[in-house]
Amino acid sequence: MVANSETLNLSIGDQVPDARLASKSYAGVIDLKGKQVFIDLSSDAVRASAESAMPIVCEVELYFSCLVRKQIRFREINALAADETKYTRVIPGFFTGFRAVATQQCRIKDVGDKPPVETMPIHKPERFVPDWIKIDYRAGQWVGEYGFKRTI
Amino acid sequence: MNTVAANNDMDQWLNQKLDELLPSKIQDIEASKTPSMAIIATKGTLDWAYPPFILASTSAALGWDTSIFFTFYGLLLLKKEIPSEVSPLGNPAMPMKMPFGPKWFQDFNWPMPNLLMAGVPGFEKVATGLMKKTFKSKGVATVEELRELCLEADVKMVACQMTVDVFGFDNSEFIPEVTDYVGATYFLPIAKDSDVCLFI
Repeated sequence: MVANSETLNLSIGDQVPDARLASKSYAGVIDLKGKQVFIDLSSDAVRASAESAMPIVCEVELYFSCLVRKQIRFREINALAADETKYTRVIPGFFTGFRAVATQQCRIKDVGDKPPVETMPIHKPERFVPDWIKIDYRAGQWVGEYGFKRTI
Repeated sequence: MNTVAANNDMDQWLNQKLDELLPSKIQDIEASKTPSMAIIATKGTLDWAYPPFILASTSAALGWDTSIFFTFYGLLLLKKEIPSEVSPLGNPAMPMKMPFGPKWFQDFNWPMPNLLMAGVPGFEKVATGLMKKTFKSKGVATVEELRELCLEADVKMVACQMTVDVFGFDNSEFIPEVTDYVGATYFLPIAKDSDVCLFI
C-alpha cells in the first residue's frame, strides 16, 4: 500500500523560516530509529494534516549518489499502513520515517519510486538519522527541511 | 617404490579435495569479511572538500571500515570551522552559474575572463557563496554535514603531523574527533590492507 501510494511532493532545498514556526505550531521530540529528533510543524502544516482525508507521512530521505542530497518525500497513506513499527506518529494523522536511498545514476530530478532510486541497505541507520526536522505547508504543498546538530 | 606410489596417490587425492573445498571456503571467507576503504585527502578547496566526505559517508553507510588520512591542504577539512573556498581561476572546468532567477538564467554559463577573476577583489568569496547557494537549493548536504555524518558513522580521521608542523598549525585548531596525528608510515599499511584505496 505504501509503495504504491503517490508522492504528494518531494521537498528538495526548501527552507522553513523560523517565522513560519513561530506561533501555534507543534514542536516536539520523537524517536526515529532509536534516535531523539526535534521536529517542528508550522500551524499551516498542523491544519493541513487535520484536514487531510488520509494520514500524511513524511519520509526523511538521505540520497546517496555522486553527491549526498537531503530530501523529504510526502505521501498520503492508508491508515492501516501507517503502523508505528515503520513510521513514527508525530501528531494524529501525521507520521514520519527515515530511509536512505541510492541510485545508479545522478539525475537531480528523480522523483518517483521507480528505479534508479531504491532503498539502500544502510548499516546502522540511526547514525544517519537527522537531529532536527521542520515541516511546513504553503502554497498548497508540503515542504520541509532537516539537518544535523552542528548546522542548527 | 611403493612409498612413491602411495605419495603420488596421496597428492592426487589432496589436490582433488582442495579443488572441491577451496572455492567455497574462499567464498565463505570473502563473504564474512568486512570491506574497507582508505582515503588520502590532500586538497582543501570547497569543490575538493566534497569527494572524501561523500565517499567516506557512503562507504560507512554500507558498513565498510573507513579511514581518511588528511595531509597537505586536506588538513583544512579537519578545522573546527571549515574555511574552504573555491576559485574559478585556473579551474576552467568549473561552470559559472547563478543559483537564483528563472531557469534560463540559472542554466546560462557565464563566461568569466581570467583578468576579471584575478583582478576583482573578493571574487573567490562571491564564487564560494554562489556555489554554496547552488548546492543548498539542490538540497545537497554541506561539507560540515557530511563530516558530521562521517563522524557519526565512525569514520576514522587521522591527520598528518608533519603537515601540521610545516604549516604552523596547532592541534587545538582541529576537531577533537581526530583520532591521531601520524605520518605516512602509519597510514600506508592501512592503505595496503584496504579493499579500496583512493587518493583525492
